[in-house]
Amino acid sequence: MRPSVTAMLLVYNEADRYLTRVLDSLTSWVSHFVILDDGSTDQTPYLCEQYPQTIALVHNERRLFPTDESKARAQLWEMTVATDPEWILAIDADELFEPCMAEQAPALLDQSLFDAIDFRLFDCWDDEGQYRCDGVWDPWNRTVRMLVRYRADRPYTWPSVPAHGGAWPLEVRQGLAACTSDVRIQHLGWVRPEDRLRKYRFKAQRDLAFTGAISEATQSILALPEQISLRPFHPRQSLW
Amino acid sequence: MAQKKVGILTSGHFDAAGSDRLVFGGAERYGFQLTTFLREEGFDVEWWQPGDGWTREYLPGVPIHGLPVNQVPYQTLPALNQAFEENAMNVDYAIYFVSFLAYPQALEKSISISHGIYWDLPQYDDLLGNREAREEWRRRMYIAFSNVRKVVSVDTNTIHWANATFPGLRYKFTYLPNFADLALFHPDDTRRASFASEAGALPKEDPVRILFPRRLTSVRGVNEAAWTAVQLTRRYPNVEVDFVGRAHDDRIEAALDSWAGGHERIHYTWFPPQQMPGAYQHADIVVIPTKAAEGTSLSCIEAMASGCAVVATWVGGLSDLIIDGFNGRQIAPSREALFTALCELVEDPMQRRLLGQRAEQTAQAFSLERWKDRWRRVIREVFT
Repeated sequence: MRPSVTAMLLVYNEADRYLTRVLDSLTSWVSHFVILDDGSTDQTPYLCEQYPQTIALVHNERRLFPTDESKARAQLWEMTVATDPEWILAIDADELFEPCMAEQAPALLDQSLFDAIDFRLFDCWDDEGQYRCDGVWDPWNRTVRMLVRYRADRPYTWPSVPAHGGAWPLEVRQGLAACTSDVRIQHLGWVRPEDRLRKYRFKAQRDLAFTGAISEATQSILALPEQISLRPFHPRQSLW
Repeated sequence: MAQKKVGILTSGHFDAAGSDRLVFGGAERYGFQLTTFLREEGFDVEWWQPGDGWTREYLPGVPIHGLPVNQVPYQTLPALNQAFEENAMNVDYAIYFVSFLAYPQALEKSISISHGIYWDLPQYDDLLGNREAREEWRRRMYIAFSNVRKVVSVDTNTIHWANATFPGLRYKFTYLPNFADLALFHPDDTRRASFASEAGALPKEDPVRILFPRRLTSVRGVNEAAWTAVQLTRRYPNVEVDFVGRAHDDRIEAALDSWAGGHERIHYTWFPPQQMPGAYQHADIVVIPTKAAEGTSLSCIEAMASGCAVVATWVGGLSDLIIDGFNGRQIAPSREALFTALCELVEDPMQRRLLGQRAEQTAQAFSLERWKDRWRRVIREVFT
């Protein structure tokens, strides 16, 4: 029997962005969606409900994420583990796996060597066919933990930090038997200039509120074109 | 009765910081298989390696500890050996995962493993420095081999060297070649049908897929393979070349990705071990262009088990696996030899079929079951 994957998503006003494209792409290898709608005022909850894979959907009337990210993440985690998941996928509504993930997922997950699987995230910029690779944006300098096998006997705790809390409880962020997959993820949230400006404002306000200064990473969102390095995102061809 | 514990000391599975980044070379996969086997046999397993004091998971439920030592005098790790001695008080038996780690001492009931000669690297001469240093390294190797009850060697190449260098130690060595899990690595239905058909039936039609299933390192011949890939794809419109493996440095992976992206019929990716069977099943030819530091390559055995035509160098333990012209092609470690052998195989599908068929038969002698049986015998002899 194929391992079961439960995707957990924290969403907010995603209706005119990438939500349905991302959910559509997951349906071929993800069994269940657990979604925390954090105060959307658009059609996002309705769109989520349309998927038979959606087994839990909670709508927060008051948005939690900007003031206490960890609390929102922990709420989503509790919703997810209440469904007795086998593998948990932590994914945002603008992160798109390469199509070959559907083909590779069974072999990636049906094994006893690893409890966590990491991926490279390519921040697409201006165009989905290219990604940013200067400084902190370079996907070749980092991997992102996206899949974790849930073990009920493991303790799970959350940091009490209001920002940059991370998608996972502390115990699964490092130290697990893990592997890195070469399947790539296109992060589409940075493609449109208007989305970048909106994200910059959100992050800058949050940086100022919590640290009193705008971080270099946040500033780099508005870097001048000559400061930005872009590379083509080579579409992956199936090896066979 | 409490489970007996086997402590395994290695020179490096994770990096010294204990990060999650892991490259699946043969040694890493050997370690996973050995750990799984020991647990199946009823042992508790715990690993140690150089690191700054961290503990993390080696496999789910199996810890690995980082011991804070980093001096490497004469290419040995005596401080790590001592730290293991002091930290492994709850260990009943020891396995020194690389044979030199048993210097200067070893637990009473212990085994070491030689994964093949690694001192055939050209730069090893410079690493050791002068003649006195080489003599001291050799003395330490003798002590390391002597200290354990058994040295498990994955190839005969190491045993030949040890036998010629330290004749008195020959009874220490047990030849225990590497393995392929034949339940996972086998020809697909198309290839099996081709093998079963009358002589004259060809393997599948174009394209001809050539696979380089190794880490992206100089000693594994990645540069020779890359040069050859460019020449082959220029000469033959029906050839596709796949590089499947990780580098120890992210920048190299980025460079290869960019390089492959600029060539229409050259591809780069990597898979975790459990996804490799598919890569071999879809390859017609597999290249193992190793230049140094090779045992009985897992990749080579898995390619053979999958019925691929294998082109391998004569380096290290590869000559335990390949008889040139019978079950594969055995070549000198040079780009010209690699290119010539590959041209011959690209142009001769019947030869590919014949070599692949015999390679699959050969691989039956290297089954995981036989490997386990051999290990079981060693363990019964030493861990009593």
